[in-house]
Amino acid sequence: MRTVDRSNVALSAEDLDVLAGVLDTLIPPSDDGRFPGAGALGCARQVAENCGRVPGLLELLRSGLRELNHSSVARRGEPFHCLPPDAREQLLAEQSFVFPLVIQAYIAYYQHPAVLEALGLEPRPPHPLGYRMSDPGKEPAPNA
Amino acid sequence: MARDETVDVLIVGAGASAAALAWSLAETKMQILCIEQGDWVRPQDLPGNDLDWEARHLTDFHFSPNVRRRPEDYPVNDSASPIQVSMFNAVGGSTILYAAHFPRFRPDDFRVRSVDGVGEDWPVDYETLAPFYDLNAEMMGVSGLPGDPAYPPKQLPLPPVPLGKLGAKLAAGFERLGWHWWPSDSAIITQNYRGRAACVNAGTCLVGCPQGAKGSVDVTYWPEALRRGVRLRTRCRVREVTVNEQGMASGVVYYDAEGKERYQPAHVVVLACNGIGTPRLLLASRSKHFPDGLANRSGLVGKNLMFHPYAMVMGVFDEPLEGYKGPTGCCIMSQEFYRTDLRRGFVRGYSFEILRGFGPISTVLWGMQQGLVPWGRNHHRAVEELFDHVAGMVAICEDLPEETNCVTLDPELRDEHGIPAPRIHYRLSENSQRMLAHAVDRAREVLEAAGARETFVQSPLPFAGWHLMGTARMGRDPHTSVVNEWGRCHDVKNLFIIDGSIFVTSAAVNPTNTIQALALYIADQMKRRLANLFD
Ligand SMILES: Cc1cc2nc3c(=O)[nH]c(=O)nc-3n(C[C@H](O)[C@H](O)[C@H](O)COP(=O)(O)OP(=O)(O)OC[C@H]3O[C@@H](n4cnc5c(N)ncnc54)[C@H](O)[C@@H]3O)c2cc1C
Ligand code: SF4
Repeated sequence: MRTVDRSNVALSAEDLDVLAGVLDTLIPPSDDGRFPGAGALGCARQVAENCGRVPGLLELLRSGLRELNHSSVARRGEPFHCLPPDAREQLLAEQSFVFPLVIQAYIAYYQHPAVLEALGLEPRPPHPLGYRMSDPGKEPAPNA
Repeated sequence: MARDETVDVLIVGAGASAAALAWSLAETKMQILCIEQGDWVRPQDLPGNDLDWEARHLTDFHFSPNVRRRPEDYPVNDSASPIQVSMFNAVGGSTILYAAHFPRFRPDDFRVRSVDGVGEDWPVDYETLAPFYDLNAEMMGVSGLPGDPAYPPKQLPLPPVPLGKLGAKLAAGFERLGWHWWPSDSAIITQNYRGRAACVNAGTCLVGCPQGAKGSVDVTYWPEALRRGVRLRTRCRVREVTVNEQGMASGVVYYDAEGKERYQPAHVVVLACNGIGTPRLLLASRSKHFPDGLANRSGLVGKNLMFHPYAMVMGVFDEPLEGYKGPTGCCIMSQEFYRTDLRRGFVRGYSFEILRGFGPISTVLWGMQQGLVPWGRNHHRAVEELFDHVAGMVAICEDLPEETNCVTLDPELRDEHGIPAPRIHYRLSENSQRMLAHAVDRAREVLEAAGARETFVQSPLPFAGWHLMGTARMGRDPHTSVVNEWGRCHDVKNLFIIDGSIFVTSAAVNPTNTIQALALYIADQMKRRLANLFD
């Protein structure tokens, strides 16, 4: 399997904490507990790394996270990632960097083995094992 | 400039058509060299081996060279076109990414003017190409079910790909309406075949097949052509085809893997750079004999670009469909609306190609695009309602040739070697728009008949410029065509074109089987005429 180099993440530890809070807001844990929150799952580093590959996106993300945290402290007296879920959702809805970020969040989250398992898939890449199709040999025939 | 040793036949491009021609010509024992700007793609480097395979579909395995921006890609200015160009540059060409849906043209598709009074008739017919379709089926490893009433009888070496739950569900929709459907002919091996291992239904075909079960030509024709003595030089980009004092092709100037300019002389030059790359190269090859571009005395190089406008219609079903299993684009097809019926408001027609479902990332991004997947507290419920519950189809519409739809050279945009990039001028005709609208309505009808509770439409599908045809078309008259009935340029008697550029009309099916049957036919004609090839 290819390994991903995670060494070059240009966000500070504080940025990454805020990002984890943002990710837990975009994709929170499910009520039944089957799906973890994206921040708790540890997607922040990968999201940051993927943003770094899209021209201009990491800069947008960094300034967006700092502004968000700043207004969280100013308006609610606490860093963003320490706010309760409803307050985080409200604050985040006002941010313009959410749209490009949410795409990167989905990309990182929906390839994680724990999420694949929660979706009912085997937690592995498609190759080399592939899949067994159900009912082989019992296919309907076309009515020529 | 460094000069290489002269070869008998020089092929530019190593995609679907080049591989077939190289393999066929190899038995002549001529010195055959192919020059390709891309490299071999190693199975272990393909995305399907990793959990991030869907993510790489959005980056280094994107359909568009403008998004991938690999060193071997050249930019394409398609910003003013409603349909963007999709291709891949490597040994295997665009077959590395193709879905391997592998229908033949129907006999009438070669006689569009005679049948419907539009487009032009081809200078070859189905009967002439039939033995080459058969040969191609053997070499590529085509699976399918004989007996489709839409076609003359044909034999295929392998049984069809499984329909799976999803295919059976949609087939039931077609049955309910009494519409034609049939398991697709697919260049995917369903059993071990000629040293290749059978498909394992992993569903990553559109980012390459690490199993080697999909018939991309790097695993079909190329290994056999190389064993027969053909040479293949990779990471070399051709800048122009040169001509001698007599106006015959004398070779090519290219940039080698180190970026050095070199000259490769040849007795015969064959262009196989696809429907965009070939007119680009011809238009960039100007000389005193050909001030408007090589082999362009007709003025038709780059003109009559055809894409096949696509509509994608997806339905959401209540039950899980196992749609992430099985070859992505190969399942069943329908040609119920293939022939002209003027009561529909357009000429010619379309086929439906049924798609498998999406993987998790594609489901969520598609759902987001449709406004079905929010972020926040309702996210998981929305995703669970969609994942493995989406199935649908694309309509492949016949595009008619129009001179205003064309490829020219961009006055500013260039690749990293300074070669002008192609620029796409394309407008959806009234006929295509009406056809797309009809197809969308019929697709919705059949999805509803199959049990879909909601349907969603993208029409035209933007990144669906993957069938590149018509930009150096065939014909008997040098005033109205670029190559003759066996692929030789009217204006340059040792220059051949074998890719989708030479198509006269587009039919309403995927083109690669026909591109390769034509390449094999042209190779056969060359072999028969070796003694007087340039007469
Ligand atoms: C995503 C996708 C899905 C598809 N699905 C299907 C399908 O299901 N069924 C079907 O029939 N078709 C499908 N196609 C189309 C199919 O891949 C093409 O029809 C086929 O590959 C065209 O063959 P070709 O020989 O004309 O060109 P290509 O296979 O595109 O090969 C051209 C080659 O020429 C090389 N080249 C270009 N310019 C130069 C230069 N200046 N110097 C050196 N080398 C050069 C390129 O690098 C490339 O490798 C699909 C394509 C894509 C992208
Ligand atoms: S589904 Fe079959 S053909 Fe497609 S990538 Fe997997 S093994 Fe290859």
